[in-house]
Amino acid sequence: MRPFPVFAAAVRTEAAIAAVLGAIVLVTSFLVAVVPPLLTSHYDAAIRDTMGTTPATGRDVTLTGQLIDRRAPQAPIRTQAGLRAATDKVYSATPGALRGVTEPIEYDVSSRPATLGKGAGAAAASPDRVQQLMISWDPGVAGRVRYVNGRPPRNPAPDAHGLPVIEVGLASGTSAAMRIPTGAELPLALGNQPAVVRVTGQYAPAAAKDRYWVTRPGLTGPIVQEATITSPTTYIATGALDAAGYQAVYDRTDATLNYTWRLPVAPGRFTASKARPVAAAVTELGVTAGNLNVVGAQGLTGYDLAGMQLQTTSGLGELLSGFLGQLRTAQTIVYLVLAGLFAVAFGVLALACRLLTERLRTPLATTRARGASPTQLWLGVSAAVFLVALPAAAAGYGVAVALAPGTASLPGVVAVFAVAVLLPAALAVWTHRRPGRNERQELAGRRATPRQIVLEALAVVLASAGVVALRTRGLSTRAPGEGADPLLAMVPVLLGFAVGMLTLRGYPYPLRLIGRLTARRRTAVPFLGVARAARQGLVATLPVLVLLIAMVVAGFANVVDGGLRRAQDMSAWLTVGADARIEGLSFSAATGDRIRRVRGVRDVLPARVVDSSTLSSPSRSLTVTLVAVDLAAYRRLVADTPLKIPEPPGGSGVPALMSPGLAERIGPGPLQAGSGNTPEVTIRTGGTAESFPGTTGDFVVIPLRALGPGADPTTYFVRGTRLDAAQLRRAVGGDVVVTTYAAVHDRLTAAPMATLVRAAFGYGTLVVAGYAALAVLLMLVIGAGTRAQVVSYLRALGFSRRQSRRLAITELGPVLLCAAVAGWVVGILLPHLVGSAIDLRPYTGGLSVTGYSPDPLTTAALAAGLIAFGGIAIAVDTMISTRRRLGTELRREAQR
Amino acid sequence: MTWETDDLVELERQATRSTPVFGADAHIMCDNLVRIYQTEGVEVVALQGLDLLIERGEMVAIVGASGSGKSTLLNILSGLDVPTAGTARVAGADLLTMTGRERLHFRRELVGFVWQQATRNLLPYLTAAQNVALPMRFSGRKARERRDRTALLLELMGVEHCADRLPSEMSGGEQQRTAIAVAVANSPEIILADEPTGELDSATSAEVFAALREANRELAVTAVIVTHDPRVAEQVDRTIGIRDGRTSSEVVRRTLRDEHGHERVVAQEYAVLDRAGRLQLPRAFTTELGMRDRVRLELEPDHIGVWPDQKNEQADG
Repeated sequence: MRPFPVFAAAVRTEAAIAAVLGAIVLVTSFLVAVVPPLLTSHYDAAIRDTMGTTPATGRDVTLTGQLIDRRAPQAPIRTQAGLRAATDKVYSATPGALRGVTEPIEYDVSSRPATLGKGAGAAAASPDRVQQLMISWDPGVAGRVRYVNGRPPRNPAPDAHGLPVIEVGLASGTSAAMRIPTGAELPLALGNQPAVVRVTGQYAPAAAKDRYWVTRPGLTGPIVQEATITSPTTYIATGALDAAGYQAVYDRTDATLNYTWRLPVAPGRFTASKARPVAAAVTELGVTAGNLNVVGAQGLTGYDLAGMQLQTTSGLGELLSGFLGQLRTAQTIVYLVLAGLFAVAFGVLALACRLLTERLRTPLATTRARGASPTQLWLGVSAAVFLVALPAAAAGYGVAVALAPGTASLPGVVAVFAVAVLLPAALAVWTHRRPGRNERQELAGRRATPRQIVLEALAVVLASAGVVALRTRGLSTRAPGEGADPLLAMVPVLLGFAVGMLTLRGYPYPLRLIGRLTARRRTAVPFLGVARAARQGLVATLPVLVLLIAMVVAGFANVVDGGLRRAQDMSAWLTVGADARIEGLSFSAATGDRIRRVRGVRDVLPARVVDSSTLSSPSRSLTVTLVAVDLAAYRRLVADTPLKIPEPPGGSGVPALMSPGLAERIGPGPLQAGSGNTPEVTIRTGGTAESFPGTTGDFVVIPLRALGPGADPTTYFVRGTRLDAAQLRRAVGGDVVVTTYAAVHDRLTAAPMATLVRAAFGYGTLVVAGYAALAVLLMLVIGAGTRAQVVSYLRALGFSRRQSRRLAITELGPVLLCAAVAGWVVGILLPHLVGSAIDLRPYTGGLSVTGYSPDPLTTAALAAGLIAFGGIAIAVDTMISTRRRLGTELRREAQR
Repeated sequence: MTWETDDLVELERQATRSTPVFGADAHIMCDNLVRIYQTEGVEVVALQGLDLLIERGEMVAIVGASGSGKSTLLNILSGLDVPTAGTARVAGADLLTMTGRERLHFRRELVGFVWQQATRNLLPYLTAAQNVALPMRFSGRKARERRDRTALLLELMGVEHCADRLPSEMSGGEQQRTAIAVAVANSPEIILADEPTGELDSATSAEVFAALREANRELAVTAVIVTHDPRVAEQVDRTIGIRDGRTSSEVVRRTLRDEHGHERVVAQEYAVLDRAGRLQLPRAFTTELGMRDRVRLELEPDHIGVWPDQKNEQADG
């Protein structure tokens, strides 16, 4: 018994529909195969980018310890072998997760910098410049340098004048900058004991661009510490020891030795999934390293002073937690969009399956009536569809593999394939479970069964519960690292489903009301169309749900994307305060004119912004940022930007604008504002502003003129087009910081995760729109047969072609419009409903995204697109139905 | 209180007495069959207590106006529909209590059907031979057996030249004759035909009817034909009329041989008296005599007389 060829032949007769099903399987397989790995690779690229753009010093993990007291003179660490053993010990204490993302461990030992005496080679020292020397043993140096003069150090060297002599090499750059020639013998206090450091030669890095030198600036040139109030400029030279030199220093001096072990981060080895375990590993290393006995002497632990307690320092943890915050948000958003997208994709797939079984209704009914069992129907249909779905799914997967080699995921493709194969068979068996029952049931209006109503009510309840759960605990599961909760990610889809059900249940009623009104009018089209639309009942359920969920996704994406864009924009404006901001210590009056002459500059406004100013009242004093600016002029300057600058407070004296709550905290009484280099002014509270551009924390804004003629501006707010930071810097001259709106905005928007999120919105909307269009087309094709019969019947009664076209519009328009509007509204409300679950602050520089509102332009464009698409669809439908001959259609109807 | 006891005893005796079951040996038996459909909340009673007996090997036509319940009856008899109430037994199978598996067996092995439209009878993408072999495929017959029987049936129906043609390449008559071959493919006991000649001209319709007659005689199949075609109705043994979901009349044809040896077909029309004693008077009779609302009955030694109600007559007069 092989009933299969019968079904294969049946599917072959519907080749066009089978091809549509195949195409949907292909596209959906491709999407499910390529999207998840593509996202993973984007996340991975993002973390590598984050790591790669962070300087090595900000991301490497270093463990440092000091050996002060040599109570263990014979400690193994004094030898090279001991040092290597200690290194091994540190490395073995490093958690595997961290080892996985770092290069092999490196170490060095250095003494504390000691000031060079007035002896030989200290010629450059002067009252405003201190020269210091430290000596360092770094096993990687010897192989990476070549001596340009002199020779490498050869320790141990014989004593001179009864003092231990330590030989070192110096970088040629250091020698030049600090005027320490080869052969210089520098008396130096190493610990409490004087010693002589002999410079035996000068070296230069063999490869200056070697990544190795980035973390060892002292070994290629002097370290310069700028002068402060308490100390003059300090130049620190680093003398490079040879291997024996380290032991010589250990044995012959009592220099305090700093041991450093460094785990250089290899950005290329990071993946997003490693972020959390690595962050945990960094914390873990901090704890375990503190208890490590690296000195090697018996009886010593990390807590013994004589030993050495390792401190772990690294920017890696913070870097990772920042990344994880961004990742969490990105995943949340992507999950929500993807859940909607895949729901829509599977809906369309189901729709295509239904179309196929609908088209095969008569032959399947005949086969069933002629004695095919449900099992035979099931096997036959699934085997026939198998022939279509297998190549399609394989092709989809193949394209995915070709585009993303090695990462395309198979399970999703299998799921798509399974749905495509099993669903038509299931539908066929269900439709023809009782042979011969079909026609009468078609006549009968389908009423919702109690089971249907219960299912729909369940969907509504589930959706509501999901929203509540999402609001209270966010999308992520409580367990860290578990990622998003798939059930909660489905909430928007569930919500769309529930609203869809309510819409489908609800819309016929107002429609019937309209039907009653139109019944009284003379034209027949609205009456007939509305009557048919209201009676379509649940026939159009699936396409309507697909369209609705697609609109939910589109609306949600649009609103959140708009909110994010506006927040990024606002954040950039708040950070800069104008198109550009120039900051320096103090500017002369002519600076403003010089800035004005720069190309593109339209307007310039001076201000004096002093961080760490003091605001004091009789009762207390607080640190604030003092902004002295002509507020009215500033308002005019930024009038066309999103910045909302309050009106200048009026009244006598110096009215000041303060940050929220500052006035209450500072208390009553006369207020003084000022700082060391800014004259004190007596101010009074004039008003409150939520924020002021360029400030963080508390601020006080006063008129610039209140500071008197002596107060020079420190800041210029510049408006203009295409401002070039370098040109502005050159125009002002000196040590200034130029921040442009464009640069800040670019930094926010070009962050890998931010672009990913926006791409998810963009592409998600596009794909979903494509699927929704397909769903509507399929809906038209499914209904085309019945509609054509009705139209041909009406045309036999004297209906014109034009009227039949209008009938299609009035029949399909209401349900599609209802679905589209309901979906859009749910999409727009969704961010408000699940708001707390989506934290966009990582992408806006910390600014909360508020006021999710639809972008009127996009809404209008979307509405226009929908109307245009609806028009095209209905035109196509009318074309199909009017192309059929009236006689054929009537005959076909008679045959039913 | 003795009379009560007597009554009970009498009842008990009646209950235990074995009476011949209604239509016990009939090939098709319907007793008080009811089928109700619901359309947009409105109930449509398609069959309202229909009784029907058809003997093995009979060829019966069922006639009636549109909506009288003919097709509903046929769908029930073919196992494609289930009655709302009553009893229906076809070829020994109880149509109300059959399980799904039994129903499948019933459709595969016991009944075959022919519909009015060729599209419902034949799969458009299979040749005539493949269509005939299809039911045998479903019931798991061997390929050789299928081939032989297909050839036999196509020949019997006179469409062996169509074996390799698709339905679209055949005439309407050929399609219907092929459909009859499909219907009898699994050697069913009963063939049910719903307006099999409805779409055909008279010449072709005669061919198709001849094919049905052939199947009835040669394959010993009981044939039930729903038809509007008086020519078909005139050629069967018995024509059963259905009105408002009930059997209303029967025309029985007998072949009589006169003294000269000439055969003559005599058709006698009967009204059906159902088991509850209901009788439908032909509308023509009641209209002629102005019978309305109620009639007067009188029992005579060998018949029952039916007279119009006097009052009605006077009022009308």
